[in-house]
Amino acid sequence: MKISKNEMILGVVVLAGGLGWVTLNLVEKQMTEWKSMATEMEKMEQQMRLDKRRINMQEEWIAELKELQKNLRAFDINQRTVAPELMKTIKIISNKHGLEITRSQPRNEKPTGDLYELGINCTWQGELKSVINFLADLQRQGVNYDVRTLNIKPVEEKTGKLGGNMVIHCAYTKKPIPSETEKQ
Amino acid sequence: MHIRDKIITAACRIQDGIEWTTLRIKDGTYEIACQGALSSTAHTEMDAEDTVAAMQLPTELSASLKGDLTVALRTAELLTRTMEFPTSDPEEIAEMVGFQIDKISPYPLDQLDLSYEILRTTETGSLVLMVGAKRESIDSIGDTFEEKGVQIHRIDARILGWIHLLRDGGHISNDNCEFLIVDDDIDCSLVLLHKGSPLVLRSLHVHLNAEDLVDELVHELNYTLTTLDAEHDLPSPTAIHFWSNAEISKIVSSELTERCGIDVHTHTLIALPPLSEGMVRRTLDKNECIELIPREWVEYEERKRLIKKFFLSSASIASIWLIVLLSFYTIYKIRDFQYAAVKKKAEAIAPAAQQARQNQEKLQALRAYTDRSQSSLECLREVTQLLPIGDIEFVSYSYTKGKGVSLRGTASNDTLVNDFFLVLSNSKFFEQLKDQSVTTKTTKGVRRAVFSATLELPTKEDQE
Repeated sequence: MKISKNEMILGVVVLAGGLGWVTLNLVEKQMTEWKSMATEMEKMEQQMRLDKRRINMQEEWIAELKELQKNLRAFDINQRTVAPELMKTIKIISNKHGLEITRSQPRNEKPTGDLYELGINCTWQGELKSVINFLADLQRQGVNYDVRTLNIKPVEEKTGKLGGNMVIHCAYTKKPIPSETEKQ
Repeated sequence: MHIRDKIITAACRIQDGIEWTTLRIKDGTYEIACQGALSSTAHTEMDAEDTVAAMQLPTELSASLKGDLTVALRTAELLTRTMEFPTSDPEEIAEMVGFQIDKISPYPLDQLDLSYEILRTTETGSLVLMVGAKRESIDSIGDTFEEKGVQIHRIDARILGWIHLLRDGGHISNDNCEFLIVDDDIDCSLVLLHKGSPLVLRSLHVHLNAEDLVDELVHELNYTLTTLDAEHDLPSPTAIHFWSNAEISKIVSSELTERCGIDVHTHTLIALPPLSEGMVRRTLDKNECIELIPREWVEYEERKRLIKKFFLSSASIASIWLIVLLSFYTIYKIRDFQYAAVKKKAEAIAPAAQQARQNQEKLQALRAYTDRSQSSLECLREVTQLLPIGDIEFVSYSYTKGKGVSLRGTASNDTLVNDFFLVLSNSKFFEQLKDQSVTTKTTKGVRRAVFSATLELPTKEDQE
């Protein structure tokens, strides 16, 4: 094999370049994966730190949580929908204070473990006093109800009659409740 | 060129085999690393006239001959001529050598390998010893050594090795003109030395035991002097030094002295170091030595070296590349393991974390129910309580938990509205009063101030 010095240098340069190119191609792909892995790892570690803190603090929460959940209304886990019962209860309270709920529209149920929340959009009419008493009554119910939105408009001028809508969030739990036959 | 950190060896044929001397050169100084001899493997009777190429070299030769190897040719295998050139420029001398050798050579130049050695520089130029050797014999020597796995790096002349040893031993006069006859049983040479430089190198085809030895020698000596008269203006030779392994009888030396009129001094070569030592010492000063290695051999060697270098460089690059790649993959794998370990840890605490997260969310949700500080009732109470006395009423009241209240209304005049805004902005219940606007409008002949404002509730920070 005849090879000149220049050819040798060229060969070595080509070899080095070729290997460099191969390395770049191999490494580039892995680097992207590596970077995303590093980011994900950092996220996981951060999440783990947060989770550990949560787990450690859980003891403090559980007592408070139990206390708050104690007063919640419990429904059967197998019950398809609880909205009618809740709307009925709200209706009873509103009637008690002379507030007329003309329309109730339940929203989607939001579960958090065994805790459920359901927003009910109620369109109402009544006097200011009725509204205030109704709101005060709901507030007295403790953790069961929370008015998140309240819109008030005068319905008729000079009569003092008001109207509007409110979104009442209801909190409750769902548990397996044994039927009467099962109890017996 | 100064040879540094190298091993060089010279190998010379002896009667029954080959002898060698190895020099180790380190930091400019040298020492004899080893000297040895091996007998020829074939026990065939060799003629002294045979070249090295005709030898059956010992099989273990390659293990003994280390480093760059120099071998020597007999004078009989060389065409030699000494001339004074009007230059000492090596390039110019090299150009003239071919021409001068061509004059005395019975062979065409393309069948010869040529070389020269500057014996000494003079005032007008330089005294140059030109040497030519048949390419055929050089190739056959190369092949003989190649067969034993030995590569020849230099080819020199035996007689020059002897001259080197004699000069080192102080046996050569640097002033006089004298004859030197060296018979080492392999080669018999006649040299005319002038001021220590060989002006004539001739091969003698004589046998020391021959009856006509003196006649032959006288003839050769006279012939030599006659041929030199035309070229050089030389003084008469003062002595004939006869160096041989066997002793020369006194009768021969006396007869030679008588017939030539020159004193004959006989010496024994056994008193000198081996020829290979003289050859290897000559090699140390490579620039001034003859070099009969064919250019193709040198090119072949260079090519081999270049290819070796190429493969070494390529292997180095490939190794570095492999190391880099392996390092990268190792780091990558370590990271992969770390990732897997973190993932495993995260998965291990995931159910407990999920439970904790759920409990936290539940607690936050329930806290929102129990927190009445920003309830709709409280907001309504605050807004109505701050309403100034006068003709001012709401057209709309819109409350959103966690955000605030948007108000629209009318008043008999804008002063009432501004007073209302003032007390609202001072309320600690709300964080900010913004987007307030008051416009006075006349509707059905009644002039009223129409207002709107937004009350922002303070942001509640999450406890956990």
